[in-house]
Amino acid sequence: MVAFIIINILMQSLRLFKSVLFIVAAGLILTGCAQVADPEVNVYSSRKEALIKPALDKFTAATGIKVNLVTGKDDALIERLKAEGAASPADVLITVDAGRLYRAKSFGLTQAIDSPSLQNAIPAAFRDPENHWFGLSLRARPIMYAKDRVNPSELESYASLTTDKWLGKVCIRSSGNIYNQSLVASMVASMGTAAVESWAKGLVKNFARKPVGGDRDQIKAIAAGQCDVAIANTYYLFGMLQSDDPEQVAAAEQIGVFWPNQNDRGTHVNVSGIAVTQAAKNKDHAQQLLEFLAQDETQSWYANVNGEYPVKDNIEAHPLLVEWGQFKKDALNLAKLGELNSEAVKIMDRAGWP
Amino acid sequence: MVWLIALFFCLPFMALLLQLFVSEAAIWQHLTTTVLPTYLSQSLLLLAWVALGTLLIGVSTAWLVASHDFPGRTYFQWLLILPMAMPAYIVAYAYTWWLDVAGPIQTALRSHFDWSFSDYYFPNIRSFSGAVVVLTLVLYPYVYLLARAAFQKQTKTLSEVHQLSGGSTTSFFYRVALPLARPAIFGGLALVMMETLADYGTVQYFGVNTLTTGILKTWFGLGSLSGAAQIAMLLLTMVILVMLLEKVWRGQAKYDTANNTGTTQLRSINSSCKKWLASCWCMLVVVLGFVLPATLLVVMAFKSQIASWYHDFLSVTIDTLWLAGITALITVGAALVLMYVKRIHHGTSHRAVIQAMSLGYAIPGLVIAVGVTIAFGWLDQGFNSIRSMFSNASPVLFFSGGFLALITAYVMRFLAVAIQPIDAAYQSIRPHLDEASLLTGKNSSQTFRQIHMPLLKSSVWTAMLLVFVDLLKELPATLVLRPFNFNTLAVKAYELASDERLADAAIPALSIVAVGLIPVLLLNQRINAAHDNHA
Amino acid sequence: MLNLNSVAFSYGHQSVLDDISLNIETGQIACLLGPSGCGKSTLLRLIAGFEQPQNGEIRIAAKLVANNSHSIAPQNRQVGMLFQDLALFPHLSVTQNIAFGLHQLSQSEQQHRVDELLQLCRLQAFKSRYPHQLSGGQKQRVALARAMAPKPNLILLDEPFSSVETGLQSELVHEVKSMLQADQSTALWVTHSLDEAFAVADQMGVILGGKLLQWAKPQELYDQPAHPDVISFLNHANLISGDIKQDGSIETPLGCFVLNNQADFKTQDCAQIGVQKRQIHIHPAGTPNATIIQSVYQGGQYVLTAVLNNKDSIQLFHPSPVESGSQVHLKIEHESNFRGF
Repeated sequence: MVAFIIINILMQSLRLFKSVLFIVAAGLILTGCAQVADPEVNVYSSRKEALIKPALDKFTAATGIKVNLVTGKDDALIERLKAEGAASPADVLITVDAGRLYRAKSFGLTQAIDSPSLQNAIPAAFRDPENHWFGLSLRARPIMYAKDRVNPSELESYASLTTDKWLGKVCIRSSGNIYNQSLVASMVASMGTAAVESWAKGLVKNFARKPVGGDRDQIKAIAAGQCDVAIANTYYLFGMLQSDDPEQVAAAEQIGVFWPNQNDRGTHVNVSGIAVTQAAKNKDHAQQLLEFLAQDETQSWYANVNGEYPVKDNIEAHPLLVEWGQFKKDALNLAKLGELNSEAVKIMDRAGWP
Repeated sequence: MVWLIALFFCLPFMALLLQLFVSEAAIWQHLTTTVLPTYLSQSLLLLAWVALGTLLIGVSTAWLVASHDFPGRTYFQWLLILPMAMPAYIVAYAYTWWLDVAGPIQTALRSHFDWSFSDYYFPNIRSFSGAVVVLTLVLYPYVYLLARAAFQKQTKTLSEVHQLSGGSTTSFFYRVALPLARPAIFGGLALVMMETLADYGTVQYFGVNTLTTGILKTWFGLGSLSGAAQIAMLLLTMVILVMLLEKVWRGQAKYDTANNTGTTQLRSINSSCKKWLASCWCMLVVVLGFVLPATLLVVMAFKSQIASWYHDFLSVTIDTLWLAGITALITVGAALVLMYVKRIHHGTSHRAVIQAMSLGYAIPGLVIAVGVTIAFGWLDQGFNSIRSMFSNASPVLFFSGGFLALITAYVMRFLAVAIQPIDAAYQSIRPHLDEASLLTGKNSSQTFRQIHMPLLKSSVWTAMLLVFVDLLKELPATLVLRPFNFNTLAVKAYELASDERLADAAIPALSIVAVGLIPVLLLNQRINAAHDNHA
Repeated sequence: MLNLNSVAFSYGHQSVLDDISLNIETGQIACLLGPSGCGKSTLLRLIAGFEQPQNGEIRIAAKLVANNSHSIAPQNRQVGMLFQDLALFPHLSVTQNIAFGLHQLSQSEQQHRVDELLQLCRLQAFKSRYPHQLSGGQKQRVALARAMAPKPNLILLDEPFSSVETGLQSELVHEVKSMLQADQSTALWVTHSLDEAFAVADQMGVILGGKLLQWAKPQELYDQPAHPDVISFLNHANLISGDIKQDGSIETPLGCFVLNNQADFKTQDCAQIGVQKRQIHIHPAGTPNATIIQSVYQGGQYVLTAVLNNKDSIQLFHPSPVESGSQVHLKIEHESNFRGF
């Protein structure tokens, strides 16, 4: 009886908010309906909007297929895909790390795409052996150094950064960052856990400062004289050199790029990649998008606008990239990065890499 | 009905709680032997320092403004609230841009004196102390606002009694004013501490490894959602401790301040030197907490490539306002319903549910987003499996993926903000008013509309404004849960900043501040008006 | 109009009210007297419907409104209440407060009823004021007008004058009474003040420790108290003890008296009778049977305290003071039957 009265009361007091709830419900239904109207494809992307939207807009212009985009962190997006299951609206997952694509595949969130044009366009090393995902661009993580204080001949490999010569002179961002996790994972694949752990300890010993900021901050710290060498992705340096801000350009111009490990496995590279989801409702459109992004034209946009390396060998890189020179890439199967990711984090934790 | 609402909002919590039963022994073994002690100690230290800093700034400025006459007092009264409109991570961006090794100041120093990096000392903003300073500067207004209101409520007679017994101003402050204002001050302090514990943007940007960083790293780096949820529970335990602490502090100090007649008389400061000192102190706080970072943002904005996304700007701003407005309405509505139930129903179980739902304020938005994602996934799977019995239509997302999920997360996160003023207002409505209304034959809903609503109106507005400001600033949950093609100003600012385009992030950041200023100023006006009415 | 039958109520194991039965006729003003904490306010809350009795029945206008299994909501009982703290709605004007419960009436009927009450309560001049702009007495009248407005079956008054200055109280009591009478209201009035109760009551009762000791007309209550605790509470009479003799009368230091409830006692029992203070006088002749120990001036006469031979302490009125320690002979005049306890 009492419960009934309370329910009654609440129903009535809720009347006040009914109009609001109605608006929200209407919004939900509308967004729900919108999904079946025009030809479209839904994208979950951990590439920042600014770095992917222009290419997607070109796709829409070329095909008339509307692209709906939501950006976020890789794992958050994967978690969202997992929770949404078969009902997920996402057709395509774009990440900035092969390890995350591997993880999505292992959760059964992706599906194989049988597309001869994709298989022709993208070298086998940069796509999933079962064609679940495809690399779109390469991101190299070399050593950068202060041109005025460091002679590149003093550098050799990632491992050489642990020598006493670099005591207090190394800058690198935190271990929470995926690029470092991938780098360490690639080293674990070739050197084994114990060796990498002692390397990590050595590197931590040589830190010029506690890791803060992103890759650009490490580059700026070299320019400012806080450290002499840093490990950073090349497209950040590219971005600084292309910047409208003369100070950034000035800072970047003091930096040299050194390709480590050229005599053994090669410099660490990762990919930004793309996969079609298991739950895709617009699989055909999704495949069209994949093929579009692998076209020469889009590939050269990556290289020329964003400073990444194209996955296709026949694309001409930006003059700046050419200037940094050709280099040997670590040929490790990128799926391995995903497998070893948590191992890498544990190693860095144990080494006291903040 | 109320149980349904509560259940709906508690589902995400339960989803997180269930993660506790997933055994992650290996990960915990790793965490406890390596990084967890650091995360814990850094969290606690940060908490302690920020609490100390906000107390110092908040109480001192409140005391000066509430009871002393000095140059600029009337302006400082509202100027001191402005940092509230500044999200901590944005202040962090601005100061970093300015003070970092490669920032304009240090670059200028080096080129002017021809120093190299090791030749001089310069405080490092991206550090633990930097995080303490930034968090203190944006969070002190919580203490300031509540302490100021408490000081202003104190009657003139109190200070007259004290003067007659020959006491000085200083001893009045320590012996009368401060103890009387203590419950209010601790109320503000509890808010500060919860915000500090839940902070993600600032500590991450400054490389301070607190429990929130730990949650992220365990989830993303170690790939263990359950491990992350377990650390989140550890964080939650700390939050519950803070809440209990506040209860204890408050519980011993329930002063009757109901019968306040007469306003506080402003004390004139005799020495002109001291007068200006008071002005300077307030000025310093305002400059560091608002004027300087805001100016820096403007400077940064001029350096950015405005044109590159100018056309997006309007639509993003409108989207942000729209979402914050609707969500504020829903949050305050939910708070009203809950407080109403609490009023008519005295059961402890209701209280427990309300307490549990208030916890969301201290849970990092990201963690709430995880809970919502998991819980709504269940709901959708259940919904689709039922639907598949009746039709062959392909599964759809009814709960997840849309604004429902996002708004649910927001409501969970900010319900406590709405509850506080409404609860206080409800407590000041005597129960006899309800009974008098019922006896005239009005039913409960008429009583709610004709008695409660008019008397709660001003607090409801206050709650709306508070929630609105918080929503404008919210980042992590929005990032994870927003639907397709939808951005808020905070997301824009974050994406640009984390892409290390600080200057470009300045425009959305400035917009958040500009839009957030309006409710903050309105809020101040309301508090002043309320004070005038009482007086 | 109101009928309580064996009503009992407790909070947990704490019994608050026990076996309360009473009846109020239409148009009567009934008073419940009792010290604070005796349960009288709880009784009002039971009648209003804010609490539900664990035992017994409550009927209003012959309709069962509450028993242990069933309770009609307060808003459906047609009961008005004047709260101790008045509970005026601070956001509504005097007119709006009074009209608050008139939502069933048409606009013009509402207007008419409000005008009627404004006139009855002499509030016309203040009708657009808000509660915080009114004096204590004015607020009181507004609260009463609001309670009376819907013409409820019953008006409950819970210590209505506890927040009013003493000087104003007696004036207000009569005002309220005449307002209630003018509107032909039935009322149950709860107070701890004897003056208030005797000034207004058509029917009254004394409630102590959750029990209703007596429910009677005021004069009956005064002249024939049914319980020694009623006498102690009214403080208008003395309890004098004595032994029951063989013939059934009681022998006290002030003489032998016939009991009207002889059957209740046996020979040699020790019993008490209640003798009103005004019935005892000092008799100039006769052997001393009491010692005066105090004389206090009060309202035109002296109140003397005397100790009897059997150590009972009694009070009586006398036109002049008497020296302490004086031995006097006390006598009971207008002897009648006494009730033995």
